Amino acid sequence: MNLCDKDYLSNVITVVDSIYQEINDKTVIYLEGGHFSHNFGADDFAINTLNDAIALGSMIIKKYQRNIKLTYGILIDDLGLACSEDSCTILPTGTKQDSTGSELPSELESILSNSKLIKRDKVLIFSERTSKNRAIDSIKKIIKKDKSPFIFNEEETHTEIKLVDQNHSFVMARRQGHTFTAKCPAIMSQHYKDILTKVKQRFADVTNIIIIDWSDLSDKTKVTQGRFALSAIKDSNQDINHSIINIFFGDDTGEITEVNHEIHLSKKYLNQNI
Amino acid sequence: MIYLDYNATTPIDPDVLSTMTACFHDYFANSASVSHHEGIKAYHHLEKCRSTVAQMIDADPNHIIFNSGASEANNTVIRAVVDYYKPQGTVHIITSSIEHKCLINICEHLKQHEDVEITYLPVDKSGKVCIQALRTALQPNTRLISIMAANNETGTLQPLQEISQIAHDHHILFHTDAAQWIGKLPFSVKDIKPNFVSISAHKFYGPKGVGVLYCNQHDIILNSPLIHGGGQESGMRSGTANLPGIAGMAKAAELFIALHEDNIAQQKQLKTYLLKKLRQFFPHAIVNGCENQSLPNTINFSLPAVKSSTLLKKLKMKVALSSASACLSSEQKPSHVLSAMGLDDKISQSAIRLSFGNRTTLEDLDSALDLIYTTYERLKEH
Repeated sequence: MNLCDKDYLSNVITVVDSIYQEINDKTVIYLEGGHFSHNFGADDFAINTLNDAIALGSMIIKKYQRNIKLTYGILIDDLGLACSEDSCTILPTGTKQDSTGSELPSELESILSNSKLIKRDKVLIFSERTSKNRAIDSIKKIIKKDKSPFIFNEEETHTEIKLVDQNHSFVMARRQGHTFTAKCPAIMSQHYKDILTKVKQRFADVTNIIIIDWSDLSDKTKVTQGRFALSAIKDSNQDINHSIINIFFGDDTGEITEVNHEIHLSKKYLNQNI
Repeated sequence: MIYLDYNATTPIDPDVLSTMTACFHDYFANSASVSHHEGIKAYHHLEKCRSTVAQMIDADPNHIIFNSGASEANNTVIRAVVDYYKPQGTVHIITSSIEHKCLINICEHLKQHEDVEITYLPVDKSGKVCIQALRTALQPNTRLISIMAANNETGTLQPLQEISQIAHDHHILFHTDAAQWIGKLPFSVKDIKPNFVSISAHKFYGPKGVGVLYCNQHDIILNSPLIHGGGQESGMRSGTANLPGIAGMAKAAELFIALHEDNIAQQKQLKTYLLKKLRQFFPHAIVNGCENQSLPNTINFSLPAVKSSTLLKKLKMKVALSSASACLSSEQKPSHVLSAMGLDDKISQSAIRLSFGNRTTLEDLDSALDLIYTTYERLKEH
């Protein structure tokens, strides 16, 4: 199948277009496919989502020419069961963390090197372990502030640190004595926060960042909760227009997909435009 | 795809499907429209279905109320009991900590909004309700004991006759959510003597969205039906009967009555084989729940060092399994069932539910175990 023919990619372009019409300014689109497990290596999901991210990038360049800049990234699942470890900091795995030079499985390296769109040394590589450790730091910092967005539920053995979205509350972290454990939404929100930081570092004059992120449908809850939680954990100097478009694969090939998104407009933008 | 998620839902039996298709043509009229022959035909067919479903659980057909399934039945019973007894003061309900969320959530809702007290009984390591705790929990204002028959995650069976006896000795109503038991093992209301039973057709090769509330206390439900309307189902559950769905459920019940002895014997063999192979492949596997007093089609096990949600993600195009991982839950909490059994976070995070059915073969189980093993070996921490 020609990837450009995939129905969902044109739906994503429509969403990008609606965001770009709203914020017609210096825009960077960050595309993240190729999510793979550190132990397992690249599977069909990783290969197909990275291929789709490249195909979508080509469609965007064709449509917007030089008006939009693209950048690519990959998130490595290196958490394993450490996800439930009651520890403040998890030891890093053997691979380099959060570095553009990190080694990737050969299948993914080959896709990147065959793409004319991507410079390999510019691909941002993120690690879930690092995100988890950083999420704990972010949450601790927020708790120290006067006004915390969190609610604290005292359980028998620990405290649950929760956020409330429109309908439900969900756990961001657990505190047992001095030990904090970050939960999945906290890891995802930290990851999105780190993307904003890295993109802003690379493109200093950007005023609008669009993150397009491919995930497995079974991760939808934690990903959308993480997206929601970003506004709670991001730093005040990160008040920049940003949108997150999540693409969820129901299968490994993208035949069954769900696309949803959230737009955040900065205070500066709102003051100028409303 | 090897389907091993029969506790979530079963594939519809081909005979059930053809019965339903025929019903759409042959009994299309509203079964409440008894002013004409087509309506009378539909009404007569509905009552025949009621008798068949009643036969499956040894019940009086008058005690069968058709509805949308066990979630509705559970909500109906809990609400109706509270409404019936609340003029007499605080209503106390005893249930267990491992019930399905549909029962726990209606209990919590009523606790917040009505004068209701709920006691959640603990379970032991095998997932069985503690009978001594039940005796201790009894209060003069206890109006209902509601304990599920078989647990959906572990398959553990509860001592229903013992619980029922305690309830009746103290003049307390007894309800059981038997969605996982009925259609997998024989169930007789004459033996167990419940006042209310919740049943879902899709758990035994019938269609989704159809079920039954068995009820021998009509006055309680009539006092406060969940759905008010045209007075169908003797006023206990209004709304036009879903006759094709009900006919499908009746056919599934008929097939269960005819075939269950052979099917159960075959499933017991498969379970013994699977447990043996599981221990060969994974000497460190932990079986969660009770191996003997459990559904013949269900095994819940933990494979140390690998998160089940990750394992299932890698297998999802080849094997259909289930996990109650915290990562998949909307609240980011581990399974309330496994937590209540005292399992630690790591065991819960790596727990997999494997549930098979009438169509499962030995070869399916062998292939599934091979796939689980290969994937596990690639994923586990080195």
